[in-house]
Amino acid sequence: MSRYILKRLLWMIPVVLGVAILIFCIMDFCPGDPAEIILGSGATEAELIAKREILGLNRPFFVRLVDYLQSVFLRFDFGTSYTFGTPVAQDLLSRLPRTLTIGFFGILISVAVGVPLGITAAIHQNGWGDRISMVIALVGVSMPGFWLGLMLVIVFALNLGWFPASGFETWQCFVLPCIANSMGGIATLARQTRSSMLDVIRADYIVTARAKGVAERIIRYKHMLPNALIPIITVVGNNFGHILGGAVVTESVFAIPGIGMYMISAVNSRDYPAVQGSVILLAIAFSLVMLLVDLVYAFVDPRIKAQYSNSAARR
Amino acid sequence: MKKTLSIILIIAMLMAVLAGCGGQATGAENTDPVDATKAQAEAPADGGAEEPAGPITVTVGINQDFSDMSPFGGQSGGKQYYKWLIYGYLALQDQSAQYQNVLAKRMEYVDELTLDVEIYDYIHDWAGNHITADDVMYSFQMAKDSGNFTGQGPSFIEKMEKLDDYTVRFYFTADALGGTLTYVTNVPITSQKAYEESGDNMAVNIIGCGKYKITDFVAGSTLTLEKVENHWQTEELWNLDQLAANPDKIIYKYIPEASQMSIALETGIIDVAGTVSGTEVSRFMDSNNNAVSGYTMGIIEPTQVTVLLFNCTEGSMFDNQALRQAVCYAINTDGIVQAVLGGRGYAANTYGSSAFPDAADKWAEEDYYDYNLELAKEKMKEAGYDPDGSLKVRLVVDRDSNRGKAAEIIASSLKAIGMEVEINAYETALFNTYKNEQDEWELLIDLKNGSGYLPNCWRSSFDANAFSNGLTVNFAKDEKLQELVMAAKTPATYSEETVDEFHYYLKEKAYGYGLFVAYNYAVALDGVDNIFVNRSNYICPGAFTYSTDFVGVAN
Repeated sequence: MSRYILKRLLWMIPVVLGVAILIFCIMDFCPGDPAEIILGSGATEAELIAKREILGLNRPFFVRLVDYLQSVFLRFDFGTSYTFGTPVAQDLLSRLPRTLTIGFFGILISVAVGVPLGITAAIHQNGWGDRISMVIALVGVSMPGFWLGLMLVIVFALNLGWFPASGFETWQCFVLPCIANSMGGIATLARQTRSSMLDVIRADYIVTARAKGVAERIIRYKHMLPNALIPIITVVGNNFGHILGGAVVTESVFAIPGIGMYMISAVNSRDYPAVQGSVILLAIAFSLVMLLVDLVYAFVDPRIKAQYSNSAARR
Repeated sequence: MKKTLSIILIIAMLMAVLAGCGGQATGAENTDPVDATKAQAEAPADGGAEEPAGPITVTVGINQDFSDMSPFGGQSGGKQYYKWLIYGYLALQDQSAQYQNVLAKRMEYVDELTLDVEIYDYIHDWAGNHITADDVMYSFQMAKDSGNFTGQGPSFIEKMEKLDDYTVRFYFTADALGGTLTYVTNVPITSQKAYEESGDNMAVNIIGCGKYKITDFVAGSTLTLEKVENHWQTEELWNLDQLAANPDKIIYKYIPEASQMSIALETGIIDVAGTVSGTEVSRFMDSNNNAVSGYTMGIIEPTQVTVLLFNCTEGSMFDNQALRQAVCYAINTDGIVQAVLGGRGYAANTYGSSAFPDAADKWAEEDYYDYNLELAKEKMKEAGYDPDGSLKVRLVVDRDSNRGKAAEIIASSLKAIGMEVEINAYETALFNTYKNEQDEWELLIDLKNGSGYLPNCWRSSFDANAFSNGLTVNFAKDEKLQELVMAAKTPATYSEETVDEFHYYLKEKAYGYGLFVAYNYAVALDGVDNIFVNRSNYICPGAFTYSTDFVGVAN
């Protein structure tokens, strides 16, 4: 197992390298001049040229690319933000906990609500429980995060006064962003759980369990759910990625200074080092989550665990 | 199963009831700003209304990030809100555009392009570093080398000479509108020792010699400033309005989303919303455009104007004066002000804002392509186009909502004179790229500004010498226009007449057309009696006046 983890971690290097090259190229080929954004529309052409020189943007593309890759992969230096004048790594580290908080609790809410909703739908297939659950899922997946965020603010902050409308100073500040961020995940998880549960609900071993007189609750949670978990875990992993990406919207709406808000401001101001650093960090986070998902597979499915053990034994 | 369900239901109901109870109380405190401010107003009455109850802390919402806080970093963005408070400048303009000494004790012209500046001999920053002529020269050199100070900045300084420990002689390369003092007032003066020891070019570890110091900073969220104890300057000599230090503590909160800014004010997260757009401000205004009970309002009339530019590339469609005039006559700018800004602004009467001191009052009385559809159609015919045809035109605009709506209105107005307008809206960076591309647009809506004087707004668009292609910003080549812009922007020839001449020539030729100026607003909870806005159109919470019963949401 440890060899497998090591192998996966080593595989992350080419993945991150690929992401770094890709994002560097995209940013470079994307129209927009950082010098003009830093200096504003009043700057003369001479001033813009001087600024590009200072930023090193007038050097050949490949020279800049190699320089960038060297500093990221050899010196772990993401450069200095054009906008803030601070090291990108430092900016990212200070913002990461807030984004992870939103992501983690967003996923937690998605699982806590989405999975039971899906189970209910599967058990009551074509009944009222199924219909209500699927309507909730449909509504959840249809609501844009930006709109939902503002609606939550209007209802729970402005009208009811239960939670703050923006900020991140207290735990209450995170409640609305986490709910807003989890809504899409609830919907997809509920649909996936329903589908996976329906796949196993008529399996022979379930019929056997029922024939043996095993209690329905035990059948559902000890026989059906573990066997339906693999696709659900995959969706949870993907959702985490989506939630990290969706933080761009949520953080802007709720004024939470996380990676998302940093990234959107960096993209708008063509702050190349900041965008590249953010994307690389998200790529690493997503790769780690995917690794975790693969490891969780082994814990929930003995067949996968056996595969790892057998391959180790063969060696 | 039923038992489990009942237990879950009971727990859920209990939680809802408990949450509801708690919420009611909080909601009553926070959601009604009128009540909230009344409560604030009543509280100190017991203690007597003569003296403030305690230190004043004001929380201000701003819609721009704090950006680069270092003295010589980028000068735009949210930095405009606080840089005056933490850094010391040699001199600054007061509300009547007169320069007032700040760090400078004496400023004296040796000749037109040479200036002696003597600073006080007792200046020190928060860390106790003594500021001398060496630090002044170091700061200007750093500013010049950074490339971040554009326009009338240190790039016009040819050299500096230290005359004694506290006096520097500046040699300038050219004169400026408003005098060469302009060149020396944009640079924050910093101790060389403090700057070099900061370890991060003062990106975060800032030490200045302003009246406030940074005590807390959360990147992308909050910036807390506290009044400096034992500031180096006496109250009598630190007398510029915008540098006043009335509150003991100022907390800036970055709130990027416009409606969240209003909600933050309504729910008591901030005391002052630094920028509220014309569309959002209706939440705080009654039908007579007065602030509703519980709020104080300040109007910010910017020097920025929204303009329409025609692509005048030689041989192109709009290299045709009559066609340009047809478009101008077909646009109802007063209608745009009503429909887009809700009346919170005004139709421009030149290619610039009327807030500039040299914008002539008489222009407002004169015809500036006042909406006239018949005349527009005639001009179309004169230009050789069919007013009932379908001439295809691309209009490029950025993603600003006001300018986007204006583009839609213009597109529908131009349909009436036989133009089919395709609107291409781009985000800022893309817009800035495409506006310089000759084959990307025929019409362009942009925001224009200039520092201090109207010709500074004009020269950024029409001084062909400033562009490498030798054309204006909209690719026109007109020698007379160039002659007139030079006359208006050059200090030696700048006068009411030369400004007038340029205005009328541009109006006649219609290379660019001023559309509207949109007001911005600052809104505060009651307790802030007066909202002070500096000449750069940024609010100065240090200079607000606070009622004796002001408490502030942070308390």
